[in-house]
Amino acid sequence: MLKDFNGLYFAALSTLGFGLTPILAKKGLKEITPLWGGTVSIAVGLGVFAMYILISGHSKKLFRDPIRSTIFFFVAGINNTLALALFYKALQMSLALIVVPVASIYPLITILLSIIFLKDQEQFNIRLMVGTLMIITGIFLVYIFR
Amino acid sequence: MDNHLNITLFFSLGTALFFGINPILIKKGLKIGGDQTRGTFYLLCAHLLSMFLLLILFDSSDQGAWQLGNEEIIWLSMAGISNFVLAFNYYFKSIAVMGAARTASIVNANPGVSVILAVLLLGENINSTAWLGIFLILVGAYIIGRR
Repeated sequence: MLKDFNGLYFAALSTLGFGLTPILAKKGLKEITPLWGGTVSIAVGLGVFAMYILISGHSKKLFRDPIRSTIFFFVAGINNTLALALFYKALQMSLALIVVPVASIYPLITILLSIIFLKDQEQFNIRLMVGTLMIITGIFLVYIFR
Repeated sequence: MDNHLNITLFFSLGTALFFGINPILIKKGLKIGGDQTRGTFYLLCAHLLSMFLLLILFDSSDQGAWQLGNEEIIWLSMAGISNFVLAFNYYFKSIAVMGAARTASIVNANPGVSVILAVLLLGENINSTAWLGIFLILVGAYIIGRR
């Protein structure tokens, strides 16, 4: 129960962080392209995170993690760049009211891939599907009728 | 459907595909002994390096970071801390505890959070249908998060 609460608390903080980002970035993207803005944001984020790693003592084991896990995290970083690049490109070509709702279907892809690759490690139930579809429908309503 | 819309949909679906793959990669990395905090750091390193590469290869505009004023730098820095320190760090922790699928679904509520914050902080107006959408997003996140 406590473990589940912790997970929810972490997810809520993550959602808040991701949700706050466009509000802050919007004010900083007046003079430059989103790609440049994203790069500046990542550079600052990485710098601050590096300081956190140094202070918290995590740096002692830096680059001593299993090589396979490090590769997965590196690929996830490159993957995130590709996602953002396509997202910016789509926004450049069309309106957010089309791009954001279509891109928001990504949890369905995660669920599908989880069933294939993480079958023994993940819990799937009807609540997950219903909740995911409600969130996607909600995003469609917010962005199309805003 | 016109060609322009087709290309937009292609890019948007591509975005969904790459974002959809990410929690799986993170979960796999954590499962084989990766650390959440250092994992976030490795991801950010690869993210920054690949963004630089993209800039070198594809950005031909003359609107570079050197044109930024102090105020823009502060806003972008705060966005970077919010997205890459707060959000990604807890994203890893959440995937470790709750799993990739549940985390991806709950974190997908973030456009709803953005709209609520835009109303509260920027004074933007939204109509009743959009409020219904926000209600659905919050209830959906609650349903997934409930044990």
